[in-house]
Amino acid sequence: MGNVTATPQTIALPTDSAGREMLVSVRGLKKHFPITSGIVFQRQVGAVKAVDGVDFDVYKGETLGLVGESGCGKSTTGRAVLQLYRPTAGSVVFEGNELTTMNNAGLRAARRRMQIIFQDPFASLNPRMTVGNIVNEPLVVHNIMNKKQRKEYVAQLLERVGLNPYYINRYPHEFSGGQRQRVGIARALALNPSFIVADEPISALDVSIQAQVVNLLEDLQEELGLTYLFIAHDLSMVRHICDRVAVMYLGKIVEIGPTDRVYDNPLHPYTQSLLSAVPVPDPEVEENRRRIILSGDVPSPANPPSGCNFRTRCPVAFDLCSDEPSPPLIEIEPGHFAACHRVT
Amino acid sequence: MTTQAHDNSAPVQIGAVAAEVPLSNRQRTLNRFLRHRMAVFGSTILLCIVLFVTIGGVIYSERDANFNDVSRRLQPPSAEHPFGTDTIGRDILARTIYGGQISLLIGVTAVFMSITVGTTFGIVAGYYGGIIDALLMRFTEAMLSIPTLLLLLVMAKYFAGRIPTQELFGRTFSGSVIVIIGIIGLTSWMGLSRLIRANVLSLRESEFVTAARAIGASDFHIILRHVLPNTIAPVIVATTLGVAAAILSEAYISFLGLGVQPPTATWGNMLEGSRSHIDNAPWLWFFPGMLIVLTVMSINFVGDGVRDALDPRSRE
Repeated sequence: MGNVTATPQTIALPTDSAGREMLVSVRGLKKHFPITSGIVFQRQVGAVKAVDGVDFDVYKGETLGLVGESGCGKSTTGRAVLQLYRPTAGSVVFEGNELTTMNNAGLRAARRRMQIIFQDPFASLNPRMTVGNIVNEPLVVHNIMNKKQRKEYVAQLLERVGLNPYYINRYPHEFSGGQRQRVGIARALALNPSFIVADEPISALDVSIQAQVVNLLEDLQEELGLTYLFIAHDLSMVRHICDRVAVMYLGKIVEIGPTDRVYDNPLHPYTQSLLSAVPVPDPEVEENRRRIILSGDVPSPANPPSGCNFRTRCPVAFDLCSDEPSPPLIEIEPGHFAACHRVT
Repeated sequence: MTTQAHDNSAPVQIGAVAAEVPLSNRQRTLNRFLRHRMAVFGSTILLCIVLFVTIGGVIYSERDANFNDVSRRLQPPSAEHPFGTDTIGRDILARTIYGGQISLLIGVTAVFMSITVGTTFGIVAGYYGGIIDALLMRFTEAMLSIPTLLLLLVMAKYFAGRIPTQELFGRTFSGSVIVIIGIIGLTSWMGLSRLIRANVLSLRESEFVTAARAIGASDFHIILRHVLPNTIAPVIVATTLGVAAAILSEAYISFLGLGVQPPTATWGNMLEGSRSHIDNAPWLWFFPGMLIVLTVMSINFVGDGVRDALDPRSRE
């Protein structure tokens, strides 16, 4: 399948100190949505700080999980990385190229290498296009192949994601949720990308279908050498699929590290409480599981607390948390970072 | 995570048996239209009306339509004049044929103008937003706040006589026909443009548009392939209602004496001439009135059918 678009794989990627190739490198990424007031003369009265200074790298061939509760800025981060939302500040380097300053033409070309899979398989497919046309569209947009080759390639793609190419002329509403998600995956694969942002790709699916789709994503990763940024809130699924995981709270990353380390030894109090909420499939262990229940609600991202974002709900907060500015991410053990005054 | 679920090599069978050849999309659309009984009925009537004004035009010449013989005025329908004669003795059948050509021409071209302007304004305002949206919508609201009839009358008065007579398809069109088309077309797009703008505002934020942006599609591609097809329903409704409204607008401007100028007949100005003979010569208004009603009604049925046929989600 990869032979059809024939993109040369000769891009030299920057490496980190450990010699790993960094496919995506995000530094100080911010996305603020303005809050305006007034009808005729609009003025900005504030900003929703959906993403407020995020740093992370995605290494070639890995799956980086991005977890956090609803509204913490996971999806916005994913979209800002792909420049679907132009970031307010910060830098995103993809395959050695800075995306935030790129013009529209350059960005259009870069989009061949990075794609997105959406959460809602009902909203992400145009109801007036057949699945064949949906999967074909990226090829038309980038003017790749002639009509006959495209038809063949689209059939191959559909077959690869587990759909019968016989139904190429069917419309999305004639498929089930899991099948539509496969169409979305086929569309994302059409341009033979190296990096895919999977924006909660399984949250809207039945549990039995979730496993199928996750396995499909894993198989494709192995076969095509894909790199995923996997956004999710299902912590068990993240543990299963991700090599590394980043935990977000209110627009900031509070902890990032290898999946096993984060799950076995969560450093940040927010990660600890998040993980304590995961049910354990063993009645005895489950019985004695100690849950850390956070009080209060998530503060508004339009008006985040001073100092550490998390201090208003943190069970171990002390005076430093409100006096000092937001704590930076510090490497506690190799590759495992946390942003907390209590953890040093 | 069973091993069965892990097996992605075999394509998942979607429907029942993959035996019969699937219908092409065009065929499926046509089937949906044909299943719509009223739409089929409407298209038949509409076809009859079009045949009436075209074939009729071959049998009767325009001179027949304008030939007057005052000695034969106000004659009821007879073998010689199947639809009777009007107040100055012209044959009503010939006049409904030629009047129909003008009325349908006005209806179709005025609506074409109105749809073009309304859709363009609506899409541009809704898709690009910001200052462009504000400017276009304020202009639209300004147009809307002027009473349409007043606007029609002022423009009709202003443009009357400024547009010379045109020769087209071997027929002479008085300048007033062109003026009326322009006036109706340019005063009827506002509602549609606001409707489309509202639709586009929500479509712009939909995930499939984001998906199109993610694959690198240009704004033009997104508008053409994603926004426009999903806002086709209000456009079709506006088209069908618009053709009807344009024919009626022409009728009431003509009724007020500012429309298409005699001797050129239209269904509208024929009605105007019958105003003082409603009781004693009903054939004067019955035939043109009936044709207006039939045309408007059948266009509405056809529009309904087309809208459903173009929606892949509607039942086949």
